[in-house]
Amino acid sequence: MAIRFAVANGNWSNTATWNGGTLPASNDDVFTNNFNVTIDIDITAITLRNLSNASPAIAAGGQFILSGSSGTRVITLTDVTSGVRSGGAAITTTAIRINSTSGATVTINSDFNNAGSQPAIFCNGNCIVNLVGSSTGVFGSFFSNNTNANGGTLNIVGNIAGNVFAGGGSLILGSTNYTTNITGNVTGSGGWCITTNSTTVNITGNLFGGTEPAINAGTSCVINITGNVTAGTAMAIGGGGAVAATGVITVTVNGTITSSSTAVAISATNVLSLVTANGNLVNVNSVNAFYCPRMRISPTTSQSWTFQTSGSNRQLLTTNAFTDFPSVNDVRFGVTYSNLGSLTGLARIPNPDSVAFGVPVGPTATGTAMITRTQFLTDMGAIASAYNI
Amino acid sequence: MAIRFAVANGNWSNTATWNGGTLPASNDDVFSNNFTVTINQDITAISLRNTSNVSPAITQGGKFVVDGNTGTRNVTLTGTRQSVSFTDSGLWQATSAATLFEVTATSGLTLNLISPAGSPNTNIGFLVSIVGNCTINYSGIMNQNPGFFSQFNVAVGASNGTLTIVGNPIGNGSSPARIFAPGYTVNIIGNLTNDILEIRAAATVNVTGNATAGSAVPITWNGGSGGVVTVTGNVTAASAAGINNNTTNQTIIVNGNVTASSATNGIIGNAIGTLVTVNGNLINVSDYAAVLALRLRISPSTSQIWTSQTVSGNRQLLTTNAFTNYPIVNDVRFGVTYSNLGSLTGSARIPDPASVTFGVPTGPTATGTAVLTRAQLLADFGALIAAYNG
Repeated sequence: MAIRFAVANGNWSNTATWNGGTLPASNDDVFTNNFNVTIDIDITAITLRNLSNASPAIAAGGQFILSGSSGTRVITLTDVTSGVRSGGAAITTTAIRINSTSGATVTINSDFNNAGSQPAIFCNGNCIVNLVGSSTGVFGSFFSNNTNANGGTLNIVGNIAGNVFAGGGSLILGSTNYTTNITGNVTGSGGWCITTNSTTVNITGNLFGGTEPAINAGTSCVINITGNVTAGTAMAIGGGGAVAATGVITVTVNGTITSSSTAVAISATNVLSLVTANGNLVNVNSVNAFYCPRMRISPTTSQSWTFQTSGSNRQLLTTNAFTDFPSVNDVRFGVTYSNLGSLTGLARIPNPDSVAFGVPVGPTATGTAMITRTQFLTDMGAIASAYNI
Repeated sequence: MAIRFAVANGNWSNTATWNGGTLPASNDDVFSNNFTVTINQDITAISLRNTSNVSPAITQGGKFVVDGNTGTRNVTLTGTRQSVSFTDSGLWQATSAATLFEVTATSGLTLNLISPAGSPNTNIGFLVSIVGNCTINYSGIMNQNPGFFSQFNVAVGASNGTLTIVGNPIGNGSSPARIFAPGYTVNIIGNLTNDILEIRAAATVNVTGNATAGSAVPITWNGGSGGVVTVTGNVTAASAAGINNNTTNQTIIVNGNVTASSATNGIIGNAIGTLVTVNGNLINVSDYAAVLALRLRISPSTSQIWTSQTVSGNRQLLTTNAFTNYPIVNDVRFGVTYSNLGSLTGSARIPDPASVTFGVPTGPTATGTAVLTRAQLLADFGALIAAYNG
């Protein structure tokens, strides 16, 4: 392992760009040294940094730039805590800057535990960025803020946690029409995890509120979650801090929404916001599962909503949540039942006068069929008379 | 019918209080004429006013005070206000923030205020000011603009009193009644339409009737904390919500249905600590939730249904006792447990075929096999005896 650093602006593939006149190897920590290095080939390294260093003397600043307008670029960073280390105090000095006008696919295999004051990566273009790794940084992994971008996609495979400081975001998504797909869990903590405006966020995983929301939703956001949404001290989806999302957001949850004893799981106050809950809803301590003027439930799934009452908990259920119907062979003949109205009982229960005396029949009766002694004697007398006995 | 007016401060019962030196009659319009008249007896008149008049010359101002501390006082006003005219109203008020009718009681007073129309003239002010501990029963039609009821002011400092309204108040969209008194109980027996109540203290409000919004909210808050509002009736939104709470730590209980509109929620409870309990059905409309609340409870026992929209049509959420499609236990075979509630067990016994008359169906497919029928027995004995005789 060695420290390598740029000595001029230029392409990664150009040996003249680097100290020592050779390309960095896969086991190197690579510094920009206040130069701009264009990543024009697939690379593997331990870290990419634009931080300073004492020995060897390395200046802070500079960026790694991806500017391909098409094709695929793969960056693999093997540091298990933070492959990309940004010391930049401004967007222009994020460690990696992606400029792509169309069609480029950038895959960055790395964990992000960024100590800088801005996200590690800034995307300023229309491309597909695949981040594979977890993000738990003070300031996180990704920033997009190009309102001119159309149809950009960010794919993340890995868990994302919020920042320890309020006011930041592990993912800051500001590009109109940007789509972010996250496969992993998203957790708010001291700061929110994702802050987003005018974008679509699809999460396949669970969403947890911390002391601040996991998602700080701005305006015109579409958030789809296939997983559970659970409030912490703060809601899982809302605005910054304890403030609800005031812009119009559309949230669809294919999972269970659960409040905490202090916070709703989703808070969206705009009268046009809409929450669609396709799974169960669970209120805790009388705190509603979510707070939104407009709501929908699933047209088909089995759903329950758990409430507190002045007594014990109670549920509201969709009709198909009522199950465990008795067999038609155990239900009185002709009785229709089930939530579909499609079952009809087949069990015939005879009248008591067709049932042997004393044998239970129906819910309360017993059989009455018997030959009494009086009747028997009468009949016998008649017979004897007939035969002149 | 005549115009009568006070000429001095004093009791109603004192002839020296009045012009002409006689008491007003039941067919008089009575003016305070900038004096204070104390109602110390039961009275009947067409109207009570503190407005001015040209001929005879009457000065605006003054008020009528009920200050009895015990017993019952009846004030009956027979004027009906069909239009803004001089002679047809019960209670009139002259100036903004002036008190026409003041009730001061330290204990035990019951005032029965009966006014079939009972609308103030124009200004929004404190028409009826209540100071002290008393019960006021008001009955009358309250559909004027601005409405009589919109002028009720329960003064700060009043406590342990009760205001009972019998009628169907309709707000005017801009001046709901202001309830200032912490600890005061307001009972309304009738339907509330449009803006009726603005609660400004930890009052207890009981409505036996429906709260139906118009362009404004029937029950809302402006300050105060810790009050309790109970509506035994339906709460329905229109362009405004039926109940809109923005003051912390309120308790809202609805023993009836809550229905949203295509524009807003039936109940909005967005204040921290406010708890909404709905014991009836909830109906969402055009995706708007029946209740928008941070804290929400349902009944522990009643049958409830919440109707929601989906991407394709309405759908219902039901309490278990609202679901009626399980067969009753008397129709289910004895001992069979069913329902996902785990609480239902069949009680219908189906006898074995051997205990059932031959040929009679029993169970899903069997028929009785018991052949010892009377006819058979007779035939057998007959054959037996015949054999002996033979």
